[in-house]
Amino acid sequence: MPGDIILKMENITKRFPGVLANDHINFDLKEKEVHALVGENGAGKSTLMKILYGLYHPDEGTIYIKIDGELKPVKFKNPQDAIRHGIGMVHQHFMLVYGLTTIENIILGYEPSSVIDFDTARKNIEKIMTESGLHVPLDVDVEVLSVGQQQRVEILKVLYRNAKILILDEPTAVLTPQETEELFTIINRLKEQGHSIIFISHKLHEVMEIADRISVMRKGRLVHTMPKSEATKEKIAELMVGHPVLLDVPRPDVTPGDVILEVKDLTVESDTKGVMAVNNVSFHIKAGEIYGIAGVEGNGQAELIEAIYGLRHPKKGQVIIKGEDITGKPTHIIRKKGVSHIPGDRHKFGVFLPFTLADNSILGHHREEKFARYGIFRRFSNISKWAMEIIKKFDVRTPSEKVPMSALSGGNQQKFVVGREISFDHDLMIAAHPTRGVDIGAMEFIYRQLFEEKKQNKAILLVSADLDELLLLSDRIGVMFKGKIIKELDNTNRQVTPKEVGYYMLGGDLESHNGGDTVGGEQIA
Amino acid sequence: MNKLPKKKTNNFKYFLLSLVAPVVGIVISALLLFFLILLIRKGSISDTLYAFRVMGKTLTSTKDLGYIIARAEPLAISGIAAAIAFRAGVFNIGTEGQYYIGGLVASIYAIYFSIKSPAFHWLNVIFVVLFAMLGGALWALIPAILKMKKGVHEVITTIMMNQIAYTTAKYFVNGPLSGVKVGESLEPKTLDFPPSVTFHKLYDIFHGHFPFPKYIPLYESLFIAAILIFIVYIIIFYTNWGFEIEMLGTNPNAAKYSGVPPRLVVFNAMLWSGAIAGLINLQEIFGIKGYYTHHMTSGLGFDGIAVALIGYNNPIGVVLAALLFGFLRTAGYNLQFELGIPNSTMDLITGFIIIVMVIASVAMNRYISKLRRKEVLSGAGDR
Repeated sequence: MPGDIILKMENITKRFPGVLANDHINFDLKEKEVHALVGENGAGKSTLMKILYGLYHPDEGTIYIKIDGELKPVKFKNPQDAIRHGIGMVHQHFMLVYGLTTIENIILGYEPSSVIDFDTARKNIEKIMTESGLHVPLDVDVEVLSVGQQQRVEILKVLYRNAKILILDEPTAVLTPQETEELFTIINRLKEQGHSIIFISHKLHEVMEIADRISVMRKGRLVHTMPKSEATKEKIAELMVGHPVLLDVPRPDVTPGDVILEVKDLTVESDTKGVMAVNNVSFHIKAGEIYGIAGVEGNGQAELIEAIYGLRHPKKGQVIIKGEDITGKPTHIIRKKGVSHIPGDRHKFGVFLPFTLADNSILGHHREEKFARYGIFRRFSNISKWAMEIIKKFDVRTPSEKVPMSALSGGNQQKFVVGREISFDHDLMIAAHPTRGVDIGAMEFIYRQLFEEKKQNKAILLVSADLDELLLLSDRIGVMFKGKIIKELDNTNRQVTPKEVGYYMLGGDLESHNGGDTVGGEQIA
Repeated sequence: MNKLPKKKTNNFKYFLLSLVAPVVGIVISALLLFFLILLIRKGSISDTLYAFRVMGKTLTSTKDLGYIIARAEPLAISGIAAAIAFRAGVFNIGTEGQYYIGGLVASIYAIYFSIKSPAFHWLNVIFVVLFAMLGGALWALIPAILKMKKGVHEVITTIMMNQIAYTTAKYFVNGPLSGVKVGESLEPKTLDFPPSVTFHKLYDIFHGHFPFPKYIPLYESLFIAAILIFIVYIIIFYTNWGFEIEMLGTNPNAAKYSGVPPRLVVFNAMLWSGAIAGLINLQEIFGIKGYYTHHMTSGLGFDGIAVALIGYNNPIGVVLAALLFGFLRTAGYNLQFELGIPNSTMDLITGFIIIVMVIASVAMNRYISKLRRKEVLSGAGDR
């Protein structure tokens, strides 16, 4: 049971040029407590945590930490200060050095003596591992560990530095449902041992499962703190966006039409020669249908999309769009045949940050007569008009189409990309992680847009790491594991459960049903 | 919704802000120059002030202005050549070798294949331009193919090609093309070009209505440079070729996603950069000298890289930067002549301008993007 308050943040205010990131925030943490911090992107969660971890300095306000039984004000100059006061942070993006072993990663920067005494370190770490239940092989390169295991290493790092207070920043974003459950077991165990945890998440059902108290942030303010007993998912969502959100967006009833996309025996080589990232994959999508692809990231989803979209040459098999074989055609031809694509990594693929919105609005279609006379001389007035249409129709918040993309917030950038891809003539929409890194408001907006697409009889291929999203949107779900679609689930009436998908995401019943024949690239019978 | 004028002034504001860095670079460098001269003249303030007056005079005398333009011309072409590659994210360090070979190929045309009738002078000039571009492109071809097919880094290959270019030029001048006659000068050179090919002086073309004295080395090649810069400007800012080059230089992944074949665009940018580099020294070869020799002004290619850097890879910026270089050189000669201040002082100052400008522009870019974000955030409610 939670005990006394061990951390108090009082009136924390942080201003950035033009933005009030934290507005007089009061936040506290009790002993043996999991305190969840939720809020949209840009609500100020990260800023608050960076202040607590010594990365930022507050403009106003004080942090108190319990030292020798009483709360004392402290000032953190840097993370080392924070660590010394027992605060540890597990970042969303792991801070591990590949090429070093687990044990080396754990003690890095905190070695027991100048000549590294591995034996003492190992003893300490093993003690922590048995106490917390965090078991990881210590003598292997961290690179070979699974994502879940790497996260454990991150938590071990923090515990090794004697942290009492753990900040977990979106820890479940990269985990499968099963791994998430294991993480929760560990969190509960750490709690019992006297640790306190600040748990940052987007996923409301997880927050409801793990948290003792929940604080909701919105636009730089902490709007409400409540014990779990008073919280419901709907209430949290409402507090987050300021108005009730229908996360359960109604699915339009559309009878599937002709087959738009057909993928036959597609085999695609990964970046490592000889290893097939996609292995004999076949499926089809009809007009007005949303086909979801589930899977732990790195099981061939990215390569599958790249092969369909013409960025990667398939080794074998066919991609057929509206009866026409487009296998191995270049991207601009494939786009012309009616394929739109919302890329998974917006900054890497979807936009040119220094370019204006106008320039970003025509990507992939910039050679069309509408945007360039003879395909060469650019028609700036048409381009501007086109960009303005997207901006208006998709509610992108910007003063004009002449500002650089980098000036927009992430959610608005994504809205712009989604809007652009929807606006071009197309029959097939490939949506990869369409709501990654956007807030609930934008998320709902994008869901509605995808359903609108469905109503327009487009075929939609949806790849997402967010199971809730897949289950909400998809008519059928193909689960990818080691380059194969090992299971196709009918979700027409939303009857599939996350557990079911999760089961197949980890390889499921491959052994029992298929006799263990064709798993992975190497042992094809 | 009437915010069109506001938009324009805003973009103008950002344009002005982007000029801060070069101005800061020049001002701080001028200060440094002041102290350097003070040091060289053993603390004599009056001498130092006089030196600055000499530099000021460089900008007012027609003779010096003529020299500034003449010296800026090859640098501007060189800057443009480098800028095209830079915009695509390619480092063409080989402009140096490319102008040696461009000049060589054009010279072979001039000596053996040109039309001897003076009536066809303009046709000859056009062919000289085409062959110079061909030669430059040819020299860029090997690094471009290696880059496209095997991903070999162009910095390494182009630097090596520079060395080969110089020795190739030397071989041709001393061997097959040698035009040194017994009893004449010992300077290795080719045969003189026929008069129907060599570039005319602008002074002669304008029949004395030209503002600069006759001895200023300004030739028809100035037209070539002007036309080139105009065309490149149009291509960069008004065509999809320029747009795709810019895409690739900014974010190759997003370019690929947009259906732009990255290798092909890099290949083309490299070739065009080389082709333009072939034109760099036509002024000296076909104007001043009238024959080809490997003993011509060297380093124009490397200077062009600096010019492109200071000019933000923008054709207009490149022209301004080239004029700045022309000014610094001309002023440097005058300082040496009048006060015995070593000419290399100016090279030092040039380098310093670049360093200060790069630092200032990093800071300015950060400031500008902050300002932009702020504007978008505050303006977000308007709509």
